Amino acid sequence: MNSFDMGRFYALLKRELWEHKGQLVYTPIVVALLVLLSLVWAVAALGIESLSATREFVASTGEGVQLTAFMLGALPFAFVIPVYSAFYLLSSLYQERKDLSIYFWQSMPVSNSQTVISKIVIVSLVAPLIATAVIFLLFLIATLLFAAQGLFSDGLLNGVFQSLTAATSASILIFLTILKTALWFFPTIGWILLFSAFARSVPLLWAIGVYILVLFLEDFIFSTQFLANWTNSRTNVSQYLVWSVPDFFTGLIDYDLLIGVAFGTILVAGSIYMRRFAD
Amino acid sequence: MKNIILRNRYSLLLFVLGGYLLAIVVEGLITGREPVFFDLDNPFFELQINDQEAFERFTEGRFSGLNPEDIED
Repeated sequence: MNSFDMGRFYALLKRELWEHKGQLVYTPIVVALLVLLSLVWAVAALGIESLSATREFVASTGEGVQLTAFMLGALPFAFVIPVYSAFYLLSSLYQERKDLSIYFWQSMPVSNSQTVISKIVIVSLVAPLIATAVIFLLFLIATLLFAAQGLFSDGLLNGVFQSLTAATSASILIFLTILKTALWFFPTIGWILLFSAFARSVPLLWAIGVYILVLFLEDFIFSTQFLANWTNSRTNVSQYLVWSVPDFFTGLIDYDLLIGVAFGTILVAGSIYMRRFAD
Repeated sequence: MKNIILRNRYSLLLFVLGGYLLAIVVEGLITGREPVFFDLDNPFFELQINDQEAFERFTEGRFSGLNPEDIED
Protein backbone atom coordinates (compact mmCIF):
# COMPACT_ATOMS: atom_id res chain seq x y z
CA MET A 1 0.00 0.00 0.00
CA ASN A 2 1.63 3.23 -1.15
CA SER A 3 1.10 6.72 0.28
CA PHE A 4 -1.70 7.46 -2.23
CA ASP A 5 -3.62 4.36 -1.10
CA MET A 6 -3.01 5.33 2.52
CA GLY A 7 -4.39 8.80 1.80
CA ARG A 8 -7.49 7.34 0.19
CA PHE A 9 -8.02 5.00 3.11
CA TYR A 10 -7.60 7.89 5.56
CA ALA A 11 -10.21 9.83 3.55
CA LEU A 12 -12.61 6.87 3.84
CA LEU A 13 -12.15 6.84 7.62
CA LYS A 14 -12.80 10.60 7.77
CA ARG A 15 -15.93 10.11 5.68
CA GLU A 16 -17.23 7.52 8.17
CA LEU A 17 -16.53 9.84 11.09
CA TRP A 18 -18.32 12.75 9.37
CA GLU A 19 -21.35 10.65 8.45
CA HIS A 20 -21.68 8.88 11.81
CA LYS A 21 -20.45 11.52 14.22
CA GLY A 22 -23.59 11.22 16.33
CA GLN A 23 -23.14 7.50 16.93
CA LEU A 24 -19.36 7.31 17.17
CA VAL A 25 -18.48 10.55 19.00
CA TYR A 26 -21.51 12.04 20.74
CA THR A 27 -22.91 8.80 22.21
CA PRO A 28 -19.86 8.04 24.41
CA ILE A 29 -19.74 11.72 25.44
CA VAL A 30 -23.39 11.63 26.53
CA VAL A 31 -22.81 8.40 28.48
CA ALA A 32 -19.74 9.96 30.14
CA LEU A 33 -21.77 13.02 31.13
CA LEU A 34 -24.45 10.79 32.66
CA VAL A 35 -21.83 8.84 34.62
CA LEU A 36 -20.26 12.11 35.77
CA LEU A 37 -23.66 13.45 36.80
CA SER A 38 -24.38 10.33 38.87
CA LEU A 39 -20.89 10.61 40.42
CA VAL A 40 -21.49 14.25 41.43
CA TRP A 41 -24.90 13.27 42.81
CA ALA A 42 -23.32 10.43 44.83
CA VAL A 43 -20.56 12.73 46.12
CA ALA A 44 -23.12 15.34 47.15
CA ALA A 45 -25.18 12.70 48.94
CA LEU A 46 -22.14 11.36 50.83
CA GLY A 47 -21.36 14.57 52.72
CA ILE A 48 -17.97 16.15 53.49
CA GLU A 49 -16.94 13.84 56.38
CA SER A 50 -17.85 10.60 54.63
CA LEU A 51 -16.15 11.83 51.48
CA SER A 52 -12.92 12.62 53.33
CA ALA A 53 -13.03 9.16 54.94
CA THR A 54 -13.65 7.57 51.53
CA ARG A 55 -10.75 9.50 50.02
CA GLU A 56 -8.41 8.42 52.82
CA PHE A 57 -9.52 4.82 52.37
CA VAL A 58 -8.96 5.03 48.61
CA ALA A 59 -5.50 6.56 49.17
CA SER A 60 -4.59 3.73 51.57
CA THR A 61 -5.53 1.01 49.07
CA GLY A 62 -3.16 -0.30 46.42
CA GLU A 63 -3.18 0.73 42.77
CA GLY A 64 -4.82 -2.56 41.84
CA VAL A 65 -7.94 -1.73 43.86
CA GLN A 66 -8.19 1.73 42.28
CA LEU A 67 -7.65 0.26 38.83
CA THR A 68 -10.51 -2.19 39.40
CA ALA A 69 -12.69 0.66 40.69
CA PHE A 70 -11.97 2.70 37.55
CA MET A 71 -12.75 -0.27 35.31
CA LEU A 72 -16.03 -0.82 37.15
CA GLY A 73 -16.78 2.90 36.68
CA ALA A 74 -16.60 2.34 32.93
CA LEU A 75 -19.15 -0.50 33.10
CA PRO A 76 -22.00 1.55 31.51
CA PHE A 77 -19.83 1.80 28.39
CA ALA A 78 -19.68 -2.00 28.18
CA PHE A 79 -23.43 -1.98 27.49
CA VAL A 80 -23.52 1.07 25.24
CA ILE A 81 -20.51 0.49 22.95
CA PRO A 82 -21.76 -2.85 21.48
CA VAL A 83 -25.20 -1.34 20.86
CA TYR A 84 -24.06 1.74 18.93
CA SER A 85 -21.36 -0.26 17.13
CA ALA A 86 -23.99 -2.74 15.94
CA PHE A 87 -26.30 0.06 14.78
CA TYR A 88 -23.39 1.77 13.02
CA LEU A 89 -22.58 -1.46 11.16
CA LEU A 90 -26.23 -2.04 10.28
CA SER A 91 -26.61 1.40 8.75
CA SER A 92 -23.13 1.66 7.23
CA LEU A 93 -23.79 -0.25 3.98
CA TYR A 94 -27.58 0.13 4.01
CA GLN A 95 -27.87 3.91 4.38
CA GLU A 96 -25.69 4.70 1.36
CA ARG A 97 -27.95 2.56 -0.83
CA LYS A 98 -31.05 4.14 0.65
CA ASP A 99 -29.95 7.74 0.00
CA LEU A 100 -28.32 6.66 -3.31
CA SER A 101 -24.95 8.16 -2.31
CA ILE A 102 -23.46 4.73 -3.13
CA TYR A 103 -23.43 5.76 -6.82
CA PHE A 104 -21.29 8.76 -5.98
CA TRP A 105 -18.89 6.73 -3.83
CA GLN A 106 -18.64 3.97 -6.44
CA SER A 107 -17.65 6.59 -9.00
CA MET A 108 -14.69 7.52 -6.76
CA PRO A 109 -11.36 5.68 -7.15
CA VAL A 110 -12.00 3.46 -4.12
CA SER A 111 -12.81 -0.23 -4.32
CA ASN A 112 -15.63 -2.03 -2.54
CA SER A 113 -13.10 -3.92 -0.41
CA GLN A 114 -11.44 -0.67 0.76
CA THR A 115 -14.85 0.77 1.68
CA VAL A 116 -15.92 -2.31 3.67
CA ILE A 117 -12.53 -2.63 5.39
CA SER A 118 -12.71 1.05 6.39
CA LYS A 119 -16.00 0.31 8.17
CA ILE A 120 -14.42 -2.63 10.02
CA VAL A 121 -11.45 -0.47 11.04
CA ILE A 122 -13.84 2.23 12.28
CA VAL A 123 -15.83 -0.16 14.46
CA SER A 124 -12.91 -2.21 15.78
CA LEU A 125 -10.21 0.45 16.14
CA VAL A 126 -11.36 4.07 15.74
CA ALA A 127 -14.60 3.82 17.75
CA PRO A 128 -12.76 2.09 20.66
CA LEU A 129 -10.10 4.82 20.53
CA ILE A 130 -12.75 7.56 20.75
CA ALA A 131 -14.60 5.75 23.55
CA THR A 132 -11.34 5.21 25.48
CA ALA A 133 -10.38 8.88 25.11
CA VAL A 134 -13.78 9.90 26.51
CA ILE A 135 -13.46 7.37 29.37
CA PHE A 136 -9.96 8.67 30.18
CA LEU A 137 -11.29 12.24 30.32
CA LEU A 138 -14.07 11.05 32.61
CA PHE A 139 -11.50 9.40 34.92
CA LEU A 140 -9.40 12.58 34.93
CA ILE A 141 -12.38 14.78 35.84
CA ALA A 142 -13.44 12.35 38.59
CA THR A 143 -9.88 12.31 40.02
CA LEU A 144 -9.67 16.11 39.86
CA LEU A 145 -13.03 16.43 41.63
CA PHE A 146 -11.79 14.23 44.47
CA ALA A 147 -8.49 16.13 44.57
CA ALA A 148 -10.31 19.51 44.72
CA GLN A 149 -12.53 18.25 47.50
CA GLY A 150 -9.48 17.12 49.48
CA LEU A 151 -7.65 20.39 48.85
CA PHE A 152 -10.54 22.58 50.00
CA SER A 153 -11.65 20.47 52.97
CA ASP A 154 -8.36 19.47 54.67
CA GLY A 155 -5.65 20.73 52.33
CA LEU A 156 -4.47 17.21 51.48
CA LEU A 157 -3.78 15.71 48.07
CA ASN A 158 -2.98 12.21 49.22
CA GLY A 159 -3.56 9.44 46.68
CA VAL A 160 -4.12 11.75 43.70
CA PHE A 161 -1.02 10.74 41.76
CA GLN A 162 -1.72 7.09 42.49
CA SER A 163 -5.26 7.61 41.15
CA LEU A 164 -3.90 9.26 37.99
CA THR A 165 -1.61 6.29 37.35
CA ALA A 166 -4.50 3.89 37.96
CA ALA A 167 -6.74 5.91 35.61
CA THR A 168 -4.14 5.73 32.83
CA SER A 169 -3.60 2.00 33.29
CA ALA A 170 -7.36 1.38 33.41
CA SER A 171 -7.88 3.35 30.18
CA ILE A 172 -5.21 1.30 28.38
CA LEU A 173 -6.74 -1.95 29.64
CA ILE A 174 -10.24 -0.82 28.64
CA PHE A 175 -9.00 -0.04 25.12
CA LEU A 176 -7.34 -3.46 24.85
CA THR A 177 -10.51 -5.12 26.19
CA ILE A 178 -12.66 -3.43 23.52
CA LEU A 179 -10.11 -4.39 20.87
CA LYS A 180 -10.10 -8.02 21.97
CA THR A 181 -13.90 -8.06 22.14
CA ALA A 182 -14.05 -6.76 18.56
CA LEU A 183 -11.81 -9.65 17.47
CA TRP A 184 -14.00 -12.18 19.28
CA PHE A 185 -17.06 -10.65 17.63
CA PHE A 186 -15.50 -10.58 14.15
CA PRO A 187 -18.00 -13.15 12.79
CA THR A 188 -20.83 -10.98 14.17
CA ILE A 189 -19.30 -7.89 12.51
CA GLY A 190 -19.19 -9.80 9.21
CA TRP A 191 -22.75 -11.08 9.67
CA ILE A 192 -24.16 -7.59 10.31
CA LEU A 193 -22.19 -6.08 7.40
CA LEU A 194 -23.49 -8.81 5.07
CA PHE A 195 -27.10 -8.01 5.89
CA SER A 196 -26.44 -4.28 5.84
CA ALA A 197 -25.28 -4.72 2.24
CA PHE A 198 -28.06 -7.19 1.40
CA ALA A 199 -31.33 -5.87 2.87
CA ARG A 200 -33.57 -3.53 0.87
CA SER A 201 -35.28 -2.54 4.11
CA VAL A 202 -35.00 -3.24 7.88
CA PRO A 203 -31.49 -4.82 7.91
CA LEU A 204 -31.78 -5.43 11.68
CA LEU A 205 -34.76 -7.70 11.14
CA TRP A 206 -32.97 -9.56 8.35
CA ALA A 207 -29.81 -10.08 10.42
CA ILE A 208 -31.65 -11.39 13.49
CA GLY A 209 -34.39 -13.19 11.56
CA VAL A 210 -32.07 -15.19 9.32
CA TYR A 211 -29.91 -16.14 12.32
CA ILE A 212 -32.93 -17.48 14.23
CA LEU A 213 -34.25 -19.20 11.10
CA VAL A 214 -30.93 -20.98 10.49
CA LEU A 215 -30.77 -22.02 14.16
CA PHE A 216 -34.29 -23.42 13.94
CA LEU A 217 -33.83 -25.17 10.58
CA GLU A 218 -30.56 -26.78 11.66
CA ASP A 219 -32.14 -28.18 14.81
CA PHE A 220 -35.38 -29.15 13.03
CA ILE A 221 -33.89 -30.84 9.95
CA PHE A 222 -30.55 -32.22 11.13
CA SER A 223 -31.11 -32.29 14.93
CA THR A 224 -27.73 -30.64 15.41
CA GLN A 225 -26.80 -27.33 17.03
CA PHE A 226 -23.46 -26.42 15.49
CA LEU A 227 -24.36 -22.75 14.97
CA ALA A 228 -25.66 -22.40 18.55
CA ASN A 229 -22.47 -24.02 19.89
CA TRP A 230 -20.35 -21.78 17.67
CA THR A 231 -22.12 -18.72 19.10
CA ASN A 232 -21.87 -20.11 22.61
CA SER A 233 -18.10 -20.59 22.24
CA ARG A 234 -17.64 -16.80 22.02
CA THR A 235 -20.08 -15.47 24.60
CA ASN A 236 -18.00 -15.91 27.75
CA VAL A 237 -17.22 -12.48 29.23
CA SER A 238 -13.90 -13.68 30.69
CA GLN A 239 -12.70 -14.19 27.09
CA TYR A 240 -12.85 -10.44 26.45
CA LEU A 241 -11.49 -9.02 29.70
CA VAL A 242 -7.86 -7.88 29.70
CA TRP A 243 -6.20 -7.37 33.10
CA SER A 244 -2.66 -6.70 31.86
CA VAL A 245 -0.90 -5.87 28.59
CA PRO A 246 0.88 -9.28 28.31
CA ASP A 247 -2.51 -10.88 29.04
CA PHE A 248 -3.83 -9.20 25.86
CA PHE A 249 -1.08 -10.63 23.64
CA THR A 250 -1.29 -14.13 25.10
CA GLY A 251 -5.09 -13.96 24.72
CA LEU A 252 -4.69 -13.34 20.98
CA ILE A 253 -3.13 -16.77 20.52
CA ASP A 254 -6.41 -18.56 21.05
CA TYR A 255 -7.83 -21.15 18.68
CA ASP A 256 -11.47 -20.04 19.04
CA LEU A 257 -10.57 -16.39 18.48
CA LEU A 258 -8.42 -17.04 15.40
CA ILE A 259 -10.88 -19.46 13.79
CA GLY A 260 -13.62 -16.87 14.40
CA VAL A 261 -11.60 -14.24 12.56
CA ALA A 262 -10.96 -16.70 9.72
CA PHE A 263 -14.64 -17.64 9.35
CA GLY A 264 -15.75 -14.04 9.79
CA THR A 265 -13.64 -13.25 6.72
CA ILE A 266 -16.07 -15.35 4.63
CA LEU A 267 -18.92 -13.03 5.67
CA VAL A 268 -16.83 -9.89 5.13
CA ALA A 269 -15.90 -11.13 1.62
CA GLY A 270 -19.61 -11.74 1.02
CA SER A 271 -20.47 -8.18 2.03
CA ILE A 272 -17.76 -6.82 -0.32
CA TYR A 273 -19.28 -8.74 -3.24
CA MET A 274 -22.80 -7.82 -2.09
CA ARG A 275 -21.99 -4.12 -2.42
CA ARG A 276 -22.09 -4.49 -6.23
CA PHE A 277 -25.90 -4.82 -5.99
CA ALA A 278 -26.51 -1.15 -5.34
CA ASP A 279 -30.23 -1.07 -6.14
CA MET B 1 -20.17 -20.89 -11.47
CA LYS B 2 -19.22 -17.28 -10.77
CA ASN B 3 -22.10 -16.09 -12.93
CA ILE B 4 -24.56 -18.22 -10.99
CA ILE B 5 -23.31 -17.00 -7.61
CA LEU B 6 -23.25 -13.36 -8.64
CA ARG B 7 -26.54 -13.51 -10.58
CA ASN B 8 -28.45 -11.59 -7.91
CA ARG B 9 -28.23 -10.66 -4.23
CA TYR B 10 -30.20 -13.73 -3.11
CA SER B 11 -27.95 -16.27 -4.84
CA LEU B 12 -24.90 -14.51 -3.37
CA LEU B 13 -26.43 -14.50 0.12
CA LEU B 14 -27.27 -18.20 -0.11
CA PHE B 15 -23.74 -19.02 -1.29
CA VAL B 16 -22.04 -16.97 1.44
CA LEU B 17 -24.27 -18.29 4.24
CA GLY B 18 -23.89 -21.83 2.90
CA GLY B 19 -20.10 -21.52 2.89
CA TYR B 20 -20.04 -19.99 6.38
CA LEU B 21 -22.32 -22.66 7.85
CA LEU B 22 -20.42 -25.44 6.11
CA ALA B 23 -17.17 -24.13 7.61
CA ILE B 24 -18.77 -24.05 11.07
CA VAL B 25 -20.15 -27.59 10.74
CA VAL B 26 -16.85 -29.03 9.44
CA GLU B 27 -14.91 -27.26 12.20
CA GLY B 28 -17.46 -28.48 14.75
CA LEU B 29 -17.11 -32.07 13.53
CA ILE B 30 -13.30 -31.93 13.54
CA THR B 31 -12.95 -30.32 16.97
CA GLY B 32 -15.88 -32.31 18.39
CA ARG B 33 -17.75 -29.41 19.91
CA GLU B 34 -20.52 -30.56 22.20
CA PRO B 35 -23.44 -30.88 19.76
CA VAL B 36 -26.18 -30.10 22.31
CA PHE B 37 -26.45 -26.56 23.59
CA PHE B 38 -30.10 -26.32 24.59
CA ASP B 39 -30.11 -28.94 27.31
CA LEU B 40 -33.57 -28.95 28.82
CA ASP B 41 -32.75 -31.55 31.49
CA ASN B 42 -32.59 -30.14 34.99
CA PRO B 43 -30.05 -32.03 37.12
CA PHE B 44 -31.75 -30.80 40.32
CA PHE B 45 -35.18 -32.07 39.40
CA GLU B 46 -36.04 -35.55 38.25
CA LEU B 47 -39.58 -36.75 37.86
CA GLN B 48 -40.58 -40.05 36.28
CA ILE B 49 -44.28 -39.96 35.53
CA ASN B 50 -44.09 -43.55 34.27
CA ASP B 51 -43.76 -44.56 37.87
CA GLN B 52 -47.35 -43.93 38.99
CA GLU B 53 -46.73 -44.40 42.70
CA ALA B 54 -43.79 -42.03 42.78
CA PHE B 55 -45.80 -39.48 40.85
CA GLU B 56 -48.69 -39.70 43.33
CA ARG B 57 -46.30 -39.33 46.24
CA PHE B 58 -44.78 -36.31 44.56
CA THR B 59 -48.10 -34.57 43.89
CA GLU B 60 -49.38 -35.43 47.36
CA GLY B 61 -46.40 -33.73 48.91
CA ARG B 62 -46.62 -30.81 46.52
CA PHE B 63 -50.28 -29.98 47.19
CA SER B 64 -50.36 -30.74 50.91
CA GLY B 65 -47.52 -28.30 51.55
CA LEU B 66 -45.18 -31.08 52.64
CA ASN B 67 -41.74 -31.63 51.25
CA PRO B 68 -41.99 -34.67 48.93
CA GLU B 69 -38.69 -35.96 50.30
CA ASP B 70 -40.14 -36.03 53.82
CA ILE B 71 -42.95 -38.39 52.83
CA GLU B 72 -41.87 -41.95 53.60
CA ASP B 73 -42.56 -44.80 51.27
